Amino acid sequence: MRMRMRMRRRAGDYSGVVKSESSGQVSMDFLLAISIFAFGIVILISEIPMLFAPLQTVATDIQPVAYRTSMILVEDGGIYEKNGSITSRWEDLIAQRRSYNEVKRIGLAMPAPAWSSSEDVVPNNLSRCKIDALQDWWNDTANQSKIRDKLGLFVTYNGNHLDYRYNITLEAFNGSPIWNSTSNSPLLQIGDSIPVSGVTVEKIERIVAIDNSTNLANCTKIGDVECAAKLVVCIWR
Amino acid sequence: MKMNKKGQMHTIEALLALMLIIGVVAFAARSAPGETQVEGSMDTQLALYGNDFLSILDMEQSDHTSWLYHQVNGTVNGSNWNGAANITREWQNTTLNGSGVFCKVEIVNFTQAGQINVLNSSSAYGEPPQNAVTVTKLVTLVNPHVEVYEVRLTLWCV
Repeated sequence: MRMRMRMRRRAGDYSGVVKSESSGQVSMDFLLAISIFAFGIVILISEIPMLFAPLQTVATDIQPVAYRTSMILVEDGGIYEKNGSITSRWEDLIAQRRSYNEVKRIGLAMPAPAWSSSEDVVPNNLSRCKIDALQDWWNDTANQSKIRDKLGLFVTYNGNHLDYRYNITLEAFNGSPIWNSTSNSPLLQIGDSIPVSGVTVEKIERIVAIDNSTNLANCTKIGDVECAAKLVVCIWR
Repeated sequence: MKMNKKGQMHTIEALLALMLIIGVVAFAARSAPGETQVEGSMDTQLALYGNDFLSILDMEQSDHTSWLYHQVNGTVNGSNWNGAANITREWQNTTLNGSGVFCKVEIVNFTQAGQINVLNSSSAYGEPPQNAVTVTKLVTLVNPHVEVYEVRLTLWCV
């Protein structure tokens, strides 16, 4: 009898089989197992970013580097140091001696006027002389690689050399470059071309004033400031 | 009626299963990161926009006043002077609202009990959402007593 039934099942004939009511139902054992498995998967997925975070210091630090670069450009006047004497007027000294090595840090904030309550520089107010000096430095192809070092974009971390790429531009609020009509070129446009794909590019925009708007196009007047624009800093590796 | 004893999913079992499934879903939802990296970057960018904008408006003149100083002074001491609306108009000059960055401006001072007292407000783009970023700038008037006011700029991105 059993032999005959097995043969009928193999042939696809289930007419003589009485189905149990428990077949096809989800059992509690299965539910418990799948719940525990789901909990495990969720915990694993939520922990994965933290597991790899210590190994990803290079990839996760692009935004702070972009932030830092924008800070030193907008809120610092730079440092020129020679024989123990320090000044923020690096643009005058490299114009006189073309001595880029003595520039310790590049900053674009203008020196504070004598009547100002600011101590050294006026944050957010960029010096036209410093901007021109930086653009001239970039145009000097023999020395343009030094800009990366002076902006702190070539550092050594745990014995590894980290070389950041950058693109720094002064733009109008509509995205077009602030135009220098005297040289018939963008006022400040330095660095590499921004890659279209394949890397993470971190972008920081700062609203800045330019202290001398003579022969500049695309400026915007804000408050008492005749020429306001955006300093756009892009960093990637 | 025949009693079924073979692991059928009856009412209590179904409720237990439902609780388990809801528990897993709730745990997964809570475990998901609350903010993505992009949103974090946007908060930083909004704070920078706000601080830079107020710094430019508060740029010191040779008489030690600023454009922002005059707006607060006009609002506090002038008649029908709407400093908050004037600041909003300067924000519109940046055209950043065209990129979806909107603002609300308030000029406030503080009561002796330490509560915020809004003197003048301009919200041309409606009320800010909960994830808006607020930056502030203190403006000191000597009138003839020293009075400290705060310009609050709330920015959000849509």
